[in-house]
Amino acid sequence: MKTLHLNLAASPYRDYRPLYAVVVVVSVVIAFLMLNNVDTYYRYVRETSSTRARIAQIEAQIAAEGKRAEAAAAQTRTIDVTTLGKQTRFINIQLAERAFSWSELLDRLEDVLPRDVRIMSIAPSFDESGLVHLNMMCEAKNSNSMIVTVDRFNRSAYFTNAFPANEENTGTGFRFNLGVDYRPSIPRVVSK
Amino acid sequence: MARTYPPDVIVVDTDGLLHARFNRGSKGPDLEQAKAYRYPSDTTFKSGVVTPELTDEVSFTETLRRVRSESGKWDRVSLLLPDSWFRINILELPSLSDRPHEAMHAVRWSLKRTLPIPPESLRVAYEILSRNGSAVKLLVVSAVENTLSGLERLFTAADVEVVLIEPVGLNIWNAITVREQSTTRDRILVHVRDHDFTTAVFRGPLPMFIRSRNLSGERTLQQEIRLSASYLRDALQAVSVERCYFASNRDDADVRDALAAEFGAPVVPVVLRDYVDREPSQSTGMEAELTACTGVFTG
Repeated sequence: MKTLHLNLAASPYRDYRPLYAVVVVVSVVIAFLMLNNVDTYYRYVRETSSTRARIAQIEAQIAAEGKRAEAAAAQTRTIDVTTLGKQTRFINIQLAERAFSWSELLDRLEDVLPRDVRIMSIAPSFDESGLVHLNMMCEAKNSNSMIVTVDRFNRSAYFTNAFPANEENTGTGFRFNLGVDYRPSIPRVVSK
Repeated sequence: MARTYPPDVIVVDTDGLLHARFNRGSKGPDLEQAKAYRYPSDTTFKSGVVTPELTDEVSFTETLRRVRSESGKWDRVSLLLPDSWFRINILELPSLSDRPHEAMHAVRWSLKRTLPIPPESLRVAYEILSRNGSAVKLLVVSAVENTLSGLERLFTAADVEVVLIEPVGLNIWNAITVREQSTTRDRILVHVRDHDFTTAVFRGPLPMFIRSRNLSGERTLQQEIRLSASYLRDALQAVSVERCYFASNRDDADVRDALAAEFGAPVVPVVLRDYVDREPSQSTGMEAELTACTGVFTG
């Protein structure tokens, strides 16, 4: 049954022991965590001294490399890039010419040229796309041979854009210039 | 009661005080020691409106010094004062503010109607018994501030902190009610002292009527009880009394018979051994007050 307590005391009793217990427990926990933090700090300082020295060394290296990179960039800015590009392109063309397979080209021409046409001269020039433009001087026995030659070049899978320049009757035959693009099996792209 | 609750209780009266110390027993409180002390002066307290005035502080301090010197070290105490030192009112208010200050103001204003002294001179505590809409029913206990603060000051001077001040009668009821089964019927407590007596009616757990009256030479105690019973039957209309509790330091068979006859219910004498695990042999003659002391620990 419910009791009746109407306390007229100016300072009624309060049981502060649970509060004190909480304060003590929290204080102990705080002290423990603080000591743990101090211990962690000292262990960090002690155990990471070599690592921190290594980090400082690497950072110094990074700084030095950075300075070298800046110096190199500054030096690069002084180079005439246009001239260098032209030189590079020339060298690349030379390298492509040296790598060009004449034997393969001659094999292909042998298949394509009609029997009554012979090549008197051939001058290759190397395109950036890997195609090789051939400027050929040919000699034929009759006047119809140039048309047949152009037609055979256009039907070949290895040649394209065959186009005659001029035709001349030499008395013994017919001489004509022919330009055609040759597609090698291993194209050498000339980089700029 | 908290395990740490101060074990010392003092019952203050106009002619002396009673010191009791309790331990925690296996079932209930264990009365370790109890001793009554008379004041060296007969004028320690002077009768006053509501609460007697503390007129001889030296006498009270000397008594307190004796108590302290004979009972060892203690620094907190609960004080029980006679019911006649308090105004105990059951008030019904149409509304009560949720703000403590405003609520206390309303309670004091209600007390003003029936008091010949300004309610500001009282120290007041109240408890809400029931609510019906906005209306509230309150149990209000009040006593003169000067006397209470004077007592607290003297205890503080003796390095003792007063942690509780309550009426004896209410704590006799607390001691009884925590040991009782729940009921919705009426129960009556009659607490008789040498010069006054208290009658209280409880319906279920709620007090319906509490009044303390001085005993004059004009009427015997039995006549006073019959008057009170007649008043209760008129005031409370249907009174279906389950049990009467009779608390006194003297076992008066005539009074018990009068109670049984007036209320038609069994009368149960309040005996200290029913409320403590162990009692010292010198507790005879102080049983009602010591029973009230056990009620302090029911909070």
